[in-house]
Amino acid sequence: MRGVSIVGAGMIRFGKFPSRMIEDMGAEAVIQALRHAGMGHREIQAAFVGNVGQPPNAGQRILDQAGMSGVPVLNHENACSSSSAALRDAYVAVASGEYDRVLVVGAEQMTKKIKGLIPIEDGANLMVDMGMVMPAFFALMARRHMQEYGTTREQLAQVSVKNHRHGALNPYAQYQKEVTLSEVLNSAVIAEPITLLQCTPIGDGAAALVMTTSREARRWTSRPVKVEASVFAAGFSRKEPSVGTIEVCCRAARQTYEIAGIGPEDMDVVELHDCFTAHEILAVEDLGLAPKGEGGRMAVEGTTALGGKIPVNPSGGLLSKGHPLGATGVAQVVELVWQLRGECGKRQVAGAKVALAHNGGGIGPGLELPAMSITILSG
Amino acid sequence: MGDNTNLKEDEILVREGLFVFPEGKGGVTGLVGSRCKKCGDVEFPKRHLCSCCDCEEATEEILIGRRGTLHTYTIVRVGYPNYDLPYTLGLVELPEGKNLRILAQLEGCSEAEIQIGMPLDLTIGKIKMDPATGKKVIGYKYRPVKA
Repeated sequence: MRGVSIVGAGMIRFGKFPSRMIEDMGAEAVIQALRHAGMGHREIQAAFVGNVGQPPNAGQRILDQAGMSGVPVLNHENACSSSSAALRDAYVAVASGEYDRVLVVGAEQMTKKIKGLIPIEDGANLMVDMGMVMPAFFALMARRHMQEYGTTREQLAQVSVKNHRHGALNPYAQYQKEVTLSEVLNSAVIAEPITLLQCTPIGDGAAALVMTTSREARRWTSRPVKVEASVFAAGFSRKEPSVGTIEVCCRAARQTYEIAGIGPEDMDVVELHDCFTAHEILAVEDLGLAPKGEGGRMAVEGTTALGGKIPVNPSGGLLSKGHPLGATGVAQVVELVWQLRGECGKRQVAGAKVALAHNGGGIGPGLELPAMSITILSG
Repeated sequence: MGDNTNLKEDEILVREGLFVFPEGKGGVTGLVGSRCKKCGDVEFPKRHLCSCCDCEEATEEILIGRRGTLHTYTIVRVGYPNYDLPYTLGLVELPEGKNLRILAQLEGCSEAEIQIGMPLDLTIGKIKMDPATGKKVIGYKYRPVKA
Protein backbone atom coordinates (compact mmCIF):
# COMPACT_ATOMS: atom_id res chain seq x y z
CA MET A 1 0.00 0.00 0.00
CA ARG A 2 1.19 3.53 -0.84
CA GLY A 3 1.36 6.43 1.59
CA VAL A 4 -1.51 8.90 1.16
CA SER A 5 -1.42 12.66 1.78
CA ILE A 6 -3.78 15.62 1.60
CA VAL A 7 -2.46 18.56 -0.42
CA GLY A 8 -5.48 20.87 -0.51
CA ALA A 9 -8.40 21.65 1.79
CA GLY A 10 -11.30 24.06 1.33
CA MET A 11 -14.78 24.73 2.65
CA ILE A 12 -17.50 27.33 2.56
CA ARG A 13 -18.68 29.02 5.72
CA PHE A 14 -21.43 26.90 7.27
CA GLY A 15 -24.79 28.62 7.75
CA LYS A 16 -28.42 28.75 6.78
CA PHE A 17 -28.59 29.16 3.02
CA PRO A 18 -32.03 27.81 2.05
CA SER A 19 -31.75 29.16 -1.49
CA ARG A 20 -28.29 27.70 -2.24
CA MET A 21 -28.18 24.40 -4.10
CA ILE A 22 -25.85 21.62 -3.03
CA GLU A 23 -24.18 21.69 -6.48
CA ASP A 24 -23.27 25.32 -6.00
CA MET A 25 -21.96 24.93 -2.43
CA GLY A 26 -20.08 21.71 -3.27
CA ALA A 27 -18.43 23.21 -6.37
CA GLU A 28 -17.28 26.26 -4.39
CA ALA A 29 -15.61 24.04 -1.77
CA VAL A 30 -14.01 21.87 -4.49
CA ILE A 31 -12.57 24.90 -6.29
CA GLN A 32 -11.16 26.24 -3.01
CA ALA A 33 -9.53 22.90 -2.24
CA LEU A 34 -7.98 22.72 -5.73
CA ARG A 35 -6.66 26.30 -5.43
CA HIS A 36 -5.27 25.47 -1.98
CA ALA A 37 -3.41 22.59 -3.62
CA GLY A 38 -2.40 24.65 -6.65
CA MET A 39 -3.86 21.84 -8.77
CA GLY A 40 -5.86 22.16 -11.97
CA HIS A 41 -9.17 20.31 -12.11
CA ARG A 42 -8.09 18.18 -15.09
CA GLU A 43 -5.65 16.40 -12.77
CA ILE A 44 -8.49 14.81 -10.76
CA GLN A 45 -9.13 11.14 -11.59
CA ALA A 46 -12.08 10.36 -9.30
CA ALA A 47 -14.22 11.87 -6.55
CA PHE A 48 -15.62 10.37 -3.35
CA VAL A 49 -18.62 12.30 -2.11
CA GLY A 50 -20.59 12.12 1.15
CA ASN A 51 -24.17 13.32 1.44
CA VAL A 52 -27.28 12.23 3.39
CA GLY A 53 -30.42 13.93 2.14
CA GLN A 54 -30.10 14.64 -1.58
CA PRO A 55 -31.66 12.74 -4.48
CA PRO A 56 -29.26 10.27 -6.19
CA ASN A 57 -25.99 11.34 -7.86
CA ALA A 58 -25.39 14.49 -5.81
CA GLY A 59 -21.65 14.05 -6.31
CA GLN A 60 -21.90 13.98 -10.10
CA ARG A 61 -23.92 17.20 -10.05
CA ILE A 62 -21.32 18.90 -7.83
CA LEU A 63 -18.47 17.82 -10.11
CA ASP A 64 -20.42 18.90 -13.17
CA GLN A 65 -20.68 22.40 -11.67
CA ALA A 66 -16.93 22.39 -11.07
CA GLY A 67 -16.14 21.53 -14.68
CA MET A 68 -15.46 17.85 -14.05
CA SER A 69 -18.32 16.13 -15.85
CA GLY A 70 -17.19 12.62 -16.76
CA VAL A 71 -14.90 12.10 -13.76
CA PRO A 72 -15.95 8.91 -11.87
CA VAL A 73 -17.90 9.67 -8.66
CA LEU A 74 -18.54 7.32 -5.75
CA ASN A 75 -21.40 8.64 -3.59
CA HIS A 76 -21.45 7.63 0.08
CA GLU A 77 -24.27 7.66 2.64
CA ASN A 78 -23.52 6.80 6.29
CA ALA A 79 -25.69 9.27 8.24
CA CYS A 80 -23.56 11.95 9.95
CA SER A 81 -20.39 10.03 8.99
CA SER A 82 -21.14 10.07 5.25
CA SER A 83 -18.18 12.10 4.07
CA SER A 84 -15.82 10.29 6.45
CA ALA A 85 -16.87 7.09 4.71
CA ALA A 86 -16.04 8.82 1.41
CA LEU A 87 -12.65 9.88 2.83
CA ARG A 88 -11.87 6.36 3.98
CA ASP A 89 -12.65 4.88 0.57
CA ALA A 90 -10.69 7.61 -1.20
CA TYR A 91 -7.74 6.81 1.06
CA VAL A 92 -7.95 3.11 0.16
CA ALA A 93 -8.30 3.89 -3.56
CA VAL A 94 -5.14 6.03 -3.56
CA ALA A 95 -3.21 3.70 -1.25
CA SER A 96 -4.07 0.70 -3.42
CA GLY A 97 -2.75 2.36 -6.59
CA GLU A 98 -6.10 2.65 -8.36
CA TYR A 99 -5.93 6.47 -8.48
CA ASP A 100 -3.15 9.03 -7.93
CA ARG A 101 -5.23 12.20 -7.39
CA VAL A 102 -8.78 12.27 -6.03
CA LEU A 103 -11.26 14.67 -4.49
CA VAL A 104 -13.09 13.99 -1.23
CA VAL A 105 -16.23 16.07 -0.86
CA GLY A 106 -18.93 16.46 1.77
CA ALA A 107 -22.00 18.60 1.13
CA GLU A 108 -25.48 19.06 2.54
CA GLN A 109 -28.48 21.29 1.96
CA MET A 110 -30.73 21.05 5.06
CA THR A 111 -32.50 24.35 5.67
CA LYS A 112 -34.58 24.27 2.50
CA LYS A 113 -36.62 21.43 4.03
CA ILE A 114 -35.79 21.12 7.74
CA LYS A 115 -36.45 23.30 10.76
CA GLY A 116 -35.48 21.97 14.19
CA LEU A 117 -35.48 18.19 14.61
CA ILE A 118 -34.30 16.07 11.69
CA PRO A 119 -37.31 14.17 10.33
CA ILE A 120 -36.86 10.41 9.90
CA GLU A 121 -39.39 8.48 7.86
CA ASP A 122 -41.88 6.25 9.73
CA GLY A 123 -40.95 2.60 9.58
CA ALA A 124 -37.28 3.23 8.82
CA ASN A 125 -36.00 2.96 12.38
CA LEU A 126 -37.86 1.25 15.25
CA MET A 127 -36.33 3.58 17.86
CA VAL A 128 -37.64 6.61 15.99
CA ASP A 129 -41.06 5.00 15.61
CA MET A 130 -41.16 4.61 19.41
CA GLY A 131 -40.41 8.30 20.01
CA MET A 132 -36.63 8.68 19.71
CA VAL A 133 -35.31 12.07 18.62
CA MET A 134 -31.61 12.81 18.09
CA PRO A 135 -31.16 14.95 21.25
CA ALA A 136 -32.78 12.15 23.30
CA PHE A 137 -30.26 9.62 21.96
CA PHE A 138 -27.41 11.53 23.57
CA ALA A 139 -29.50 12.64 26.56
CA LEU A 140 -29.94 8.94 27.42
CA MET A 141 -26.15 8.50 27.30
CA ALA A 142 -25.66 11.69 29.33
CA ARG A 143 -28.02 10.52 32.08
CA ARG A 144 -26.25 7.17 32.38
CA HIS A 145 -22.85 8.90 32.43
CA MET A 146 -24.07 11.23 35.20
CA GLN A 147 -25.20 8.21 37.22
CA GLU A 148 -21.96 6.26 36.76
CA TYR A 149 -19.36 9.02 36.99
CA GLY A 150 -21.04 11.96 38.70
CA THR A 151 -20.91 14.13 35.59
CA THR A 152 -22.89 17.31 36.15
CA ARG A 153 -25.20 19.52 34.08
CA GLU A 154 -22.63 22.33 34.42
CA GLN A 155 -19.88 20.11 32.97
CA LEU A 156 -22.11 19.24 30.01
CA ALA A 157 -22.95 22.92 29.46
CA GLN A 158 -19.27 23.89 29.68
CA VAL A 159 -18.57 21.92 26.49
CA SER A 160 -20.93 24.26 24.64
CA VAL A 161 -19.35 27.36 26.23
CA LYS A 162 -15.88 26.18 25.18
CA ASN A 163 -16.83 25.25 21.62
CA HIS A 164 -18.73 28.50 21.05
CA ARG A 165 -15.68 30.39 22.34
CA HIS A 166 -13.61 28.55 19.70
CA GLY A 167 -16.24 29.11 17.01
CA ALA A 168 -16.16 32.85 17.67
CA LEU A 169 -12.57 32.75 16.32
CA ASN A 170 -13.48 30.81 13.17
CA PRO A 171 -14.64 32.77 10.10
CA TYR A 172 -16.04 29.51 8.65
CA ALA A 173 -18.34 28.83 11.65
CA GLN A 174 -22.12 29.11 11.43
CA TYR A 175 -22.19 30.76 14.87
CA GLN A 176 -19.31 33.12 15.67
CA LYS A 177 -20.60 34.23 19.04
CA GLU A 178 -19.66 33.24 22.58
CA VAL A 179 -22.29 31.95 25.00
CA THR A 180 -22.19 31.96 28.81
CA LEU A 181 -22.70 29.00 31.13
CA SER A 182 -25.98 30.43 32.39
CA GLU A 183 -27.24 31.04 28.84
CA VAL A 184 -26.54 27.39 28.01
CA LEU A 185 -28.11 26.04 31.20
CA ASN A 186 -31.14 28.32 30.96
CA SER A 187 -31.88 27.74 27.28
CA ALA A 188 -34.95 25.59 26.57
CA VAL A 189 -34.76 21.97 27.71
CA ILE A 190 -35.00 19.74 24.62
CA ALA A 191 -34.42 16.28 26.13
CA GLU A 192 -33.25 16.34 29.73
CA PRO A 193 -30.46 17.13 30.57
CA ILE A 194 -29.72 18.48 27.06
CA THR A 195 -30.75 22.12 26.50
CA LEU A 196 -31.08 23.97 23.19
CA LEU A 197 -27.58 25.49 23.28
CA GLN A 198 -26.17 21.98 23.77
CA CYS A 199 -27.58 20.87 20.41
CA THR A 200 -25.89 21.29 17.05
CA PRO A 201 -27.86 23.59 14.74
CA ILE A 202 -29.40 22.77 11.37
CA GLY A 203 -27.28 24.22 8.58
CA ASP A 204 -25.96 24.04 5.05
CA GLY A 205 -22.42 23.76 3.78
CA ALA A 206 -19.73 21.94 1.87
CA ALA A 207 -16.09 20.98 2.31
CA ALA A 208 -13.49 19.35 0.08
CA LEU A 209 -10.03 17.78 0.14
CA VAL A 210 -7.47 16.95 -2.54
CA MET A 211 -5.74 13.65 -1.84
CA THR A 212 -2.73 12.14 -3.56
CA THR A 213 0.14 9.78 -2.85
CA SER A 214 2.69 10.88 -0.28
CA ARG A 215 5.34 10.44 -2.97
CA GLU A 216 3.57 12.90 -5.31
CA ALA A 217 2.44 15.29 -2.55
CA ARG A 218 5.53 17.49 -2.56
CA ARG A 219 4.95 18.25 -6.23
CA TRP A 220 1.92 20.25 -5.05
CA THR A 221 2.87 21.64 -1.65
CA SER A 222 5.76 21.97 0.74
CA ARG A 223 3.37 21.14 3.59
CA PRO A 224 1.45 17.96 2.80
CA VAL A 225 -0.61 16.32 5.54
CA LYS A 226 -0.22 12.56 5.73
CA VAL A 227 -3.16 10.25 6.44
CA GLU A 228 -1.63 7.92 9.03
CA ALA A 229 -4.77 5.80 9.42
CA SER A 230 -8.46 5.96 8.57
CA VAL A 231 -10.77 3.42 10.19
CA PHE A 232 -14.51 2.95 9.72
CA ALA A 233 -16.33 0.76 12.25
CA ALA A 234 -19.90 -0.25 13.07
CA GLY A 235 -21.50 -0.23 16.51
CA PHE A 236 -22.63 -3.58 17.92
CA SER A 237 -25.48 -3.15 20.38
CA ARG A 238 -24.79 -6.35 22.29
CA LYS A 239 -21.27 -5.35 23.27
CA GLU A 240 -22.13 -2.11 25.04
CA PRO A 241 -21.49 -2.84 28.75
CA SER A 242 -23.38 0.37 29.52
CA VAL A 243 -24.42 3.30 27.39
CA GLY A 244 -22.13 5.52 29.49
CA THR A 245 -19.35 4.18 27.21
CA ILE A 246 -19.44 4.12 23.41
CA GLU A 247 -17.95 0.73 22.70
CA VAL A 248 -17.52 1.27 18.96
CA CYS A 249 -15.50 4.42 19.67
CA CYS A 250 -13.14 2.52 22.01
CA ARG A 251 -12.80 -0.28 19.46
CA ALA A 252 -12.24 1.97 16.43
CA ALA A 253 -9.77 4.12 18.40
CA ARG A 254 -7.68 1.09 19.42
CA GLN A 255 -7.56 -0.05 15.80
CA THR A 256 -6.66 3.42 14.48
CA TYR A 257 -3.89 3.95 17.04
CA GLU A 258 -2.47 0.52 16.24
CA ILE A 259 -2.39 1.13 12.46
CA ALA A 260 -0.91 4.63 12.89
CA GLY A 261 1.58 3.60 15.55
CA ILE A 262 0.54 6.81 17.31
CA GLY A 263 -1.34 6.92 20.62
CA PRO A 264 -3.81 9.31 22.22
CA GLU A 265 -1.00 10.87 24.28
CA ASP A 266 0.64 12.01 21.02
CA MET A 267 -2.33 14.07 19.80
CA ASP A 268 -1.85 17.83 19.47
CA VAL A 269 -5.35 18.70 18.26
CA VAL A 270 -8.67 16.87 17.88
CA GLU A 271 -11.88 17.53 15.99
CA LEU A 272 -14.64 15.31 17.37
CA HIS A 273 -18.34 14.77 16.87
CA ASP A 274 -19.93 17.11 19.44
CA CYS A 275 -23.42 16.94 17.91
CA PHE A 276 -24.66 17.26 21.51
CA THR A 277 -22.47 18.20 24.47
CA ALA A 278 -22.67 14.74 26.03
CA HIS A 279 -21.06 13.20 22.97
CA GLU A 280 -17.90 15.26 23.43
CA ILE A 281 -17.58 14.16 27.06
CA LEU A 282 -17.99 10.47 26.19
CA ALA A 283 -15.76 10.73 23.11
CA VAL A 284 -12.75 12.34 24.84
CA GLU A 285 -12.85 9.44 27.29
CA ASP A 286 -13.51 6.67 24.77
CA LEU A 287 -10.76 8.00 22.45
CA GLY A 288 -8.38 7.68 25.41
CA LEU A 289 -7.73 11.44 25.68
CA ALA A 290 -9.09 11.43 29.25
CA PRO A 291 -9.43 8.71 31.89
CA LYS A 292 -12.97 7.26 31.96
CA GLY A 293 -15.27 9.55 33.90
CA GLU A 294 -12.99 12.60 33.61
CA GLY A 295 -14.39 14.04 30.36
CA GLY A 296 -16.65 16.53 32.10
CA ARG A 297 -13.93 17.74 34.43
CA MET A 298 -11.55 18.28 31.49
CA ALA A 299 -14.03 20.62 29.84
CA VAL A 300 -14.38 22.69 33.02
CA GLU A 301 -10.64 22.80 33.76
CA GLY A 302 -9.79 23.97 30.24
CA THR A 303 -7.71 20.92 29.30
CA THR A 304 -9.67 20.59 26.05
CA ALA A 305 -9.83 24.33 25.32
CA LEU A 306 -7.48 26.27 23.02
CA GLY A 307 -4.33 26.80 25.08
CA GLY A 308 -5.03 23.63 27.09
CA LYS A 309 -3.13 20.34 26.99
CA ILE A 310 -5.25 18.79 24.22
CA PRO A 311 -7.44 21.29 22.35
CA VAL A 312 -10.68 19.67 21.20
CA ASN A 313 -12.80 21.24 18.47
CA PRO A 314 -10.78 24.43 17.86
CA SER A 315 -13.07 25.05 14.86
CA GLY A 316 -16.03 25.42 17.21
CA GLY A 317 -17.09 21.85 16.57
CA LEU A 318 -20.53 20.83 15.41
CA LEU A 319 -22.07 22.95 18.18
CA SER A 320 -20.72 26.26 16.88
CA LYS A 321 -19.17 25.69 13.45
CA GLY A 322 -22.33 23.79 12.49
CA HIS A 323 -23.26 20.35 11.20
CA PRO A 324 -24.54 20.11 7.62
CA LEU A 325 -24.65 16.32 7.96
CA GLY A 326 -22.81 15.10 4.88
CA ALA A 327 -20.31 17.96 4.99
CA THR A 328 -19.16 17.35 8.55
CA GLY A 329 -16.57 14.57 8.27
CA VAL A 330 -14.63 16.32 5.51
CA ALA A 331 -14.97 19.71 7.24
CA GLN A 332 -13.37 18.24 10.37
CA VAL A 333 -10.39 17.09 8.30
CA VAL A 334 -10.24 20.45 6.47
CA GLU A 335 -9.84 22.16 9.86
CA LEU A 336 -7.13 19.69 10.90
CA VAL A 337 -5.22 20.09 7.62
CA TRP A 338 -5.24 23.86 8.14
CA GLN A 339 -4.18 23.37 11.79
CA LEU A 340 -1.28 21.11 10.81
CA ARG A 341 -0.18 23.68 8.20
CA GLY A 342 -0.41 26.53 10.71
CA GLU A 343 -3.11 28.36 8.74
CA CYS A 344 -5.77 28.80 11.44
CA GLY A 345 -5.10 32.36 12.59
CA LYS A 346 -6.57 33.17 16.00
CA ARG A 347 -7.68 29.60 16.67
CA GLN A 348 -4.30 28.05 15.68
CA VAL A 349 -2.96 25.34 18.01
CA ALA A 350 0.71 26.30 18.15
CA GLY A 351 3.06 23.74 16.64
CA ALA A 352 0.41 21.08 15.97
CA LYS A 353 2.00 18.02 14.34
CA VAL A 354 -0.48 15.16 14.95
CA ALA A 355 -4.27 15.37 14.75
CA LEU A 356 -7.30 13.13 15.12
CA ALA A 357 -10.77 13.39 13.58
CA HIS A 358 -13.72 11.49 15.12
CA ASN A 359 -17.07 11.34 13.32
CA GLY A 360 -20.01 9.19 14.46
CA GLY A 361 -23.28 8.56 12.68
CA GLY A 362 -26.77 7.16 13.04
CA ILE A 363 -28.92 5.68 15.80
CA GLY A 364 -28.76 1.94 16.44
CA PRO A 365 -31.31 -0.25 18.25
CA GLY A 366 -29.25 -0.76 21.43
CA LEU A 367 -28.29 2.94 21.55
CA GLU A 368 -25.10 2.16 19.66
CA LEU A 369 -23.67 4.31 16.85
CA PRO A 370 -24.01 2.41 13.57
CA ALA A 371 -21.12 4.32 11.97
CA MET A 372 -17.85 5.45 13.53
CA SER A 373 -14.92 6.97 11.66
CA ILE A 374 -11.55 7.85 13.17
CA THR A 375 -8.74 9.37 11.12
CA ILE A 376 -5.24 10.27 12.26
CA LEU A 377 -3.24 12.89 10.34
CA SER A 378 0.31 14.18 10.65
CA GLY A 379 1.83 17.36 9.31
CA MET B 1 -46.64 -14.65 16.64
CA GLY B 2 -48.29 -11.28 16.90
CA ASP B 3 -51.80 -10.29 15.89
CA ASN B 4 -53.94 -7.20 15.95
CA THR B 5 -57.29 -8.69 16.98
CA ASN B 6 -57.36 -6.66 20.20
CA LEU B 7 -57.08 -3.32 18.47
CA LYS B 8 -60.00 -0.92 18.71
CA GLU B 9 -61.49 0.91 15.73
CA ASP B 10 -59.43 4.03 16.36
CA GLU B 11 -56.10 2.23 16.85
CA ILE B 12 -53.32 0.95 14.60
CA LEU B 13 -50.10 -0.92 15.42
CA VAL B 14 -46.75 0.88 15.37
CA ARG B 15 -45.41 -2.14 13.48
CA GLU B 16 -46.68 -5.71 12.94
CA GLY B 17 -45.22 -8.63 14.85
CA LEU B 18 -43.51 -6.82 17.73
CA PHE B 19 -45.69 -8.09 20.58
CA VAL B 20 -48.58 -10.44 21.35
CA PHE B 21 -51.91 -9.55 22.90
CA PRO B 22 -53.28 -12.06 25.43
CA GLU B 23 -56.46 -14.08 25.01
CA GLY B 24 -59.26 -11.89 26.30
CA LYS B 25 -58.96 -8.26 27.18
CA GLY B 26 -56.17 -5.87 28.12
CA GLY B 27 -52.46 -6.14 28.73
CA VAL B 28 -49.82 -7.82 26.67
CA THR B 29 -48.22 -11.24 26.95
CA GLY B 30 -44.78 -10.35 25.73
CA LEU B 31 -42.50 -8.99 23.06
CA VAL B 32 -41.67 -11.23 20.12
CA GLY B 33 -37.95 -11.85 20.29
CA SER B 34 -35.67 -14.46 18.79
CA ARG B 35 -33.51 -17.09 20.48
CA CYS B 36 -30.43 -18.75 19.04
CA LYS B 37 -30.79 -22.55 18.94
CA LYS B 38 -27.07 -22.95 19.69
CA CYS B 39 -25.97 -20.36 22.27
CA GLY B 40 -29.45 -19.48 23.56
CA ASP B 41 -28.91 -15.74 23.27
CA VAL B 42 -32.07 -13.67 22.95
CA GLU B 43 -32.62 -10.55 20.84
CA PHE B 44 -35.40 -8.06 20.19
CA PRO B 45 -36.75 -7.33 17.65
CA LYS B 46 -36.17 -10.81 16.28
CA ARG B 47 -33.18 -11.42 14.02
CA HIS B 48 -32.81 -14.01 11.27
CA LEU B 49 -29.41 -15.20 12.50
CA CYS B 50 -27.74 -14.93 15.92
CA SER B 51 -25.47 -11.90 16.47
CA CYS B 52 -23.50 -13.49 19.30
CA CYS B 53 -22.25 -16.87 18.03
CA ASP B 54 -21.44 -18.70 14.80
CA CYS B 55 -24.76 -20.61 14.60
CA GLU B 56 -26.00 -20.63 11.01
CA GLU B 57 -29.39 -22.13 11.79
CA ALA B 58 -32.38 -19.76 11.83
CA THR B 59 -33.37 -18.43 15.24
CA GLU B 60 -36.65 -19.39 16.94
CA GLU B 61 -39.30 -17.02 18.26
CA ILE B 62 -39.66 -16.49 21.99
CA LEU B 63 -41.86 -14.21 24.10
CA ILE B 64 -39.79 -11.93 26.31
CA GLY B 65 -39.68 -8.60 28.08
CA ARG B 66 -42.59 -8.74 30.54
CA ARG B 67 -40.27 -7.25 33.12
CA GLY B 68 -37.13 -5.14 32.80
CA THR B 69 -35.02 -2.60 34.66
CA LEU B 70 -34.34 1.02 33.72
CA HIS B 71 -30.80 1.45 32.30
CA THR B 72 -31.21 5.17 31.58
CA TYR B 73 -33.92 7.67 30.69
CA THR B 74 -34.69 11.15 29.39
CA ILE B 75 -37.71 13.41 29.33
CA VAL B 76 -38.40 14.65 25.81
CA ARG B 77 -39.76 18.20 25.92
CA VAL B 78 -39.33 19.09 22.25
CA GLY B 79 -40.27 16.34 19.78
CA TYR B 80 -41.97 15.46 16.54
CA PRO B 81 -45.59 16.48 15.91
CA ASN B 82 -48.26 13.94 16.88
CA TYR B 83 -46.64 13.08 20.21
CA ASP B 84 -48.04 14.21 23.57
CA LEU B 85 -45.24 16.31 25.07
CA PRO B 86 -43.46 15.92 27.34
CA TYR B 87 -42.94 12.16 27.39
CA THR B 88 -40.36 9.95 29.07
CA LEU B 89 -38.13 7.62 27.09
CA GLY B 90 -36.42 4.75 28.88
CA LEU B 91 -33.74 2.35 27.77
CA VAL B 92 -34.99 -0.83 29.40
CA GLU B 93 -32.65 -3.72 30.13
CA LEU B 94 -34.30 -7.12 29.67
CA PRO B 95 -33.12 -10.14 31.68
CA GLU B 96 -33.45 -12.64 28.82
CA GLY B 97 -30.26 -11.62 26.93
CA LYS B 98 -26.82 -10.18 27.66
CA ASN B 99 -26.76 -6.35 27.36
CA LEU B 100 -30.22 -6.62 25.77
CA ARG B 101 -31.77 -3.17 25.99
CA ILE B 102 -34.75 -1.69 24.21
CA LEU B 103 -36.11 1.79 23.90
CA ALA B 104 -39.67 2.43 25.09
CA GLN B 105 -41.82 5.22 26.41
CA LEU B 106 -42.49 5.04 30.15
CA GLU B 107 -45.93 5.68 31.54
CA GLY B 108 -47.49 5.93 34.96
CA CYS B 109 -44.49 7.37 36.75
CA SER B 110 -43.86 10.95 37.78
CA GLU B 111 -40.54 12.65 37.00
CA ALA B 112 -39.72 12.60 40.71
CA GLU B 113 -40.03 8.83 41.02
CA ILE B 114 -37.93 7.85 37.97
CA GLN B 115 -34.69 6.15 38.99
CA ILE B 116 -32.08 4.25 37.04
CA GLY B 117 -32.31 0.59 38.10
CA MET B 118 -36.04 0.68 38.88
CA PRO B 119 -38.03 -2.44 37.90
CA LEU B 120 -40.56 -2.00 35.11
CA ASP B 121 -43.50 -3.96 33.71
CA LEU B 122 -44.40 -4.26 30.04
CA THR B 123 -47.66 -2.71 28.94
CA ILE B 124 -49.22 -1.51 25.72
CA GLY B 125 -50.49 1.93 24.96
CA LYS B 126 -50.53 4.93 22.71
CA ILE B 127 -47.18 6.03 21.31
CA LYS B 128 -48.47 8.91 19.17
CA MET B 129 -51.24 9.86 16.75
CA ASP B 130 -51.03 8.81 13.10
CA PRO B 131 -51.43 11.95 11.00
CA ALA B 132 -52.63 10.03 7.91
CA THR B 133 -55.52 8.17 9.57
CA GLY B 134 -56.10 10.19 12.74
CA LYS B 135 -55.82 6.92 14.70
CA LYS B 136 -53.82 6.17 17.84
CA VAL B 137 -50.55 4.36 17.14
CA ILE B 138 -50.28 1.48 19.63
CA GLY B 139 -46.97 0.05 20.77
CA TYR B 140 -45.19 -1.43 23.76
CA LYS B 141 -44.39 0.74 26.77
CA TYR B 142 -43.14 0.19 30.31
CA ARG B 143 -44.48 1.32 33.70
CA PRO B 144 -43.20 1.04 37.26
CA VAL B 145 -43.88 -2.31 38.93
CA LYS B 146 -46.83 -1.87 41.27
CA ALA B 147 -45.98 -2.77 44.85
